[in-house]
Amino acid sequence: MIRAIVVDDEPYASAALQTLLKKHCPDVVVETACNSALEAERVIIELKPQLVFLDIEMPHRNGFELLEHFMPPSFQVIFTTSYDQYAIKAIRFSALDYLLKPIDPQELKAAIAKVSKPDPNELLTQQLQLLMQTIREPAATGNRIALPTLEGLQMVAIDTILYCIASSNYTTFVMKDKKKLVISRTLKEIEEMLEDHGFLRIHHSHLVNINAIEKYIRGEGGTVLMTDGTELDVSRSRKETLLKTLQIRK
Amino acid sequence: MLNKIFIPCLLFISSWATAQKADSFFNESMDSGYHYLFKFMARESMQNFGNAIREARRLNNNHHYADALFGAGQATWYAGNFKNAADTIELALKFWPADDKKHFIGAYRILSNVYDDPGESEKAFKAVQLALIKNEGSRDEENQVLLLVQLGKLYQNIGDLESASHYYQMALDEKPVKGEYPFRELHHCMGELYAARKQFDSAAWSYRQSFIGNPLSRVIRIRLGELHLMQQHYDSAYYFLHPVYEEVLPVNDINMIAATAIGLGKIAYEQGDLRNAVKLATDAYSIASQKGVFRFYESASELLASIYEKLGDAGSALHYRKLYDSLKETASTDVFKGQLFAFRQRSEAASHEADMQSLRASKKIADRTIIIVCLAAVLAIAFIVFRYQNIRLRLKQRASELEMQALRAQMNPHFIFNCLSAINHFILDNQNDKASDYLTRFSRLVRMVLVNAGKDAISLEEELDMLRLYLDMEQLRFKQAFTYTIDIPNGLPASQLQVPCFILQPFCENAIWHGLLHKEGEGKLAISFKYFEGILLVTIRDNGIGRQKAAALGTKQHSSMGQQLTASRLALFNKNRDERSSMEIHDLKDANEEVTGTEIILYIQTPL
Repeated sequence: MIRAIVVDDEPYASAALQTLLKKHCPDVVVETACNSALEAERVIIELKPQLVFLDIEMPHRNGFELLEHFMPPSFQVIFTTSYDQYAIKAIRFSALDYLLKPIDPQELKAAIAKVSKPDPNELLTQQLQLLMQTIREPAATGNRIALPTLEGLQMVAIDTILYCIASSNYTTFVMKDKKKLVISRTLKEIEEMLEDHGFLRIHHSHLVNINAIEKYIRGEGGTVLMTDGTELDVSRSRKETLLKTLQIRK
Repeated sequence: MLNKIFIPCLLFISSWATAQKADSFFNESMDSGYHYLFKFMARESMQNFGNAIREARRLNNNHHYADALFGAGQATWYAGNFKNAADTIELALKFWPADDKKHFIGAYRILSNVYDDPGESEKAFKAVQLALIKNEGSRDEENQVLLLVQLGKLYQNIGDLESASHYYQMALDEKPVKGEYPFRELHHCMGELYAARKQFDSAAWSYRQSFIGNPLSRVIRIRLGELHLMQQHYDSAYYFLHPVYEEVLPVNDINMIAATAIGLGKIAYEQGDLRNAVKLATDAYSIASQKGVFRFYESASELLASIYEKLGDAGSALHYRKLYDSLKETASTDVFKGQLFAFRQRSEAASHEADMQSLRASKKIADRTIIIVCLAAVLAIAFIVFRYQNIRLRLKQRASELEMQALRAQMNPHFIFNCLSAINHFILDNQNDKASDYLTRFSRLVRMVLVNAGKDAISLEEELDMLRLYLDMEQLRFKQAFTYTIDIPNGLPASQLQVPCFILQPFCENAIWHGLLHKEGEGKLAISFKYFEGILLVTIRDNGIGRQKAAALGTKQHSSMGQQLTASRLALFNKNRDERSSMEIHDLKDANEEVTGTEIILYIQTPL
């Protein structure tokens, strides 16, 4: 059994989530629902829930500001939001879970399944710290990213990633120190996270760190030589974008 | 960069020993002048350069005198006194020996910068072009990059982004050394160009490039902050701007204080911290008006206008709004002047070429050449006058079109998804009729927004249909936390009157979010109409908590931004027909002077 609370300023959104939980996740018991961060702060201290469904956009104080009062957290968090691209990006960066409203039951079940260990650990604290940092200073140099590997989570500095290669639903990361990490995210998802951080999709299955390109070798699409000596194909359609990007860099 | 330029000069001096001593005092003064200059301590720098000037005069050494004047000019520039700075540097240019190219080029480049700051683009163009001509032949690459960058910057300032990009590309082709000053300056300017084109990622990339070699650069941190501001990432913007602000306050670098104060003021304004916003904006405003820094003056008055508008101080808001408008007008005249000058330069070059060719052809037709040149000149002038008028008209038209596009009605995505969420609840809860009812209403609303989004104006009837649908959905979202009434007098020809599309919704949204949702007990929203002599008067009244309390709660900002955009849209709509003020906001008070709500009155010019 997981003792949970729902924090959302919109009564029906909160009610819909509770109905879905009853139907699809009988393990989760919603002890109460709060309609503001202020109320939630009190309730969390009083009830000590194991899991908090947290709406991001609320009047007075938003979900992130509420979380700042509970660092390190004594509970797991699943964010809910109707539309906030900026926040969503930050959440994905920290490999935390979020649900888009109206909520999809399949996504809800998947998120709950991940909350198997209801006790928060050191890792969650790190993830939340990373999240807060990303929200506060998204362009900070030396940015780190949390990657869900097969064993657990790995915190990685973005500039140590050389390139990423797609393998169906997984992505293989090749790092500066020649280590490889297999991540349970599609290359598309990774691309969305890293495109603002100097990464470019040069091929259906290659995403590269622009700073790790040694040189471009001409051809139909051509190839790029990476700093670790690997040669990666460039697809014809991406050639022009790549050349433009490289030119600007020079 | 400029402190390695001293050439010992032993002329006019009889004793070698005295020369040593005299020169060393001069050199010392110059060195400390530049030392303070690089630390942005303009006053201390000025004192030292002053000493150097006196010393050079005593030694009767023209070269020293010019060096010292040049330093003093830069110190004056840093102190924000642009006119004197330009005069001083012009004077220095007269005292350097004519073959001292490096000095000439450097000084003309700085001079171009100095002229550009208060908006004298014509002189700025001239200075940089002179320097480019001087640098032809045995050219210095570092200077060449900087000159091209400066030229690009000037084009960017007059809105010719194409030419700016062209010159930056030329500068790139010179392959400046990574991490050195020309490289950093080039990427800084390219970042600004990208930002102007709204290519935010490329802009950020360029700015980061110019961190190479100078990772703590204040200017670049300011630029990154401004970039985040443009993207409405207020927290990140604050992260960049605030530390710089704290750093530059004690050293009194007025340019940076003004830039950061305006940025931070905007952030405070967006986040509802109006008191702080007023303070910052006023600081920036007073710096800008004292020193005559044009762009800060303009943006500070715009910001102050917005803040006072939000504070409900209509008098001050109007004052600053008017000031901003007139500054903008002057700025656009400056831009026109710059464009005209750039154009004239090109046609002069062309007619010069034609002139030379005909001379070369034969001396016999020299008379005819003169006539041809005269004719060409007359034609060129006629063409310029015609084009000037034309450009002016076209730009004006385009500006208002763009403005309309930017201000066009949009639906808040939060609203859309939260409505869907609420409907989902009814489905999950097996309230089929209710679910179907709201789904139908929601679809009608979305359809109306889609159909009308491209239009400038729709009939009042349609507008009211949309408004009712919108208010129904908001009532649904918040479990009937408020009720609304729409009061239309008998005989109002609602189907005949044209109003700007979706003009009422943002004001209602604001009333609900800021006023009614925070209220204990039942909220009421009353919308009523009056029509006389071509003016539709709309009164939107709520019994919410009032503006002051709402501001104190720091409630959401996006909707009030929507309201502001809508207000400008309305002003624009009214201006098309008649220049009149179009909106008023009042606090409603009871007998004990307690605030009992807010009232907004809109005046819409709409003849039958």
